[in-house]
Amino acid sequence: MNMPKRILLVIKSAPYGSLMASEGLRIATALIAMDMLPLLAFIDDGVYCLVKSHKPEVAGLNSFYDRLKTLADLVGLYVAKDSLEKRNLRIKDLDKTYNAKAISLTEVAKLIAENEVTIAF
Amino acid sequence: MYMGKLLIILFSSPIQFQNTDTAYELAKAAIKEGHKVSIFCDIDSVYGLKASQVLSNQKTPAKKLAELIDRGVSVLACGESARLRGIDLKKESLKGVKESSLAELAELIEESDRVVAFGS
Repeated sequence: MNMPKRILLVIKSAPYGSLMASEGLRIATALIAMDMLPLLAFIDDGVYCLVKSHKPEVAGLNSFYDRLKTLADLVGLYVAKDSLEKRNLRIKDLDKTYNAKAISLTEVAKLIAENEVTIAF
Repeated sequence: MYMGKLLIILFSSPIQFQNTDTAYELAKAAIKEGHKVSIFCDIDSVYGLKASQVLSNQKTPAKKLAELIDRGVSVLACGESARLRGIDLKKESLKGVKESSLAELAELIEESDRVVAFGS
């Protein structure tokens, strides 16, 4: 049996204002349901998805905390250090339950090179 | 000669963004080289499948996708995205569009040689 394809999903959109980030998480869930385990990397404004204490319901929006937490438990999350620094964010500003691993942009580039498919959201 | 399988995923709306137009040109070039092409329309890109689009003096995104279907491209639509937007694919979409799901998208990603996504 062939090994499943190596897939990287890069979340670069902010969590609210467009559906892109949440669609990336939905597709990640679909891939897992089909026995494919994608890697998830958060860069650019996508890092805001991981910041703690979101209250989207205040603005009438849906929370994707549960989905993100499940994905974090199943496949693990990467976050670009460079993107955090540019937004004056630190690891301690992120939700601890996601246990995101901070990596450099060089390491993000390595992930892209190592995976057969990269889809950006 | 091995013919590859190209999967194009569209996310953006067809008029405000020009990704459907780019996908059309890419798909035509791939077909010309003999490759098999599939296009999966997700979230707002499902609006591109509405047969009733009107644009004066130019081809609508729907006409471009219809042309691709005629040329053997498999065009699929995320059924959930269409329902959320009030689009009845059976009644309103182009002939030949297949209602699909993210589970099928996962399978397509697995079986394709190249995957290109437009829309972010």
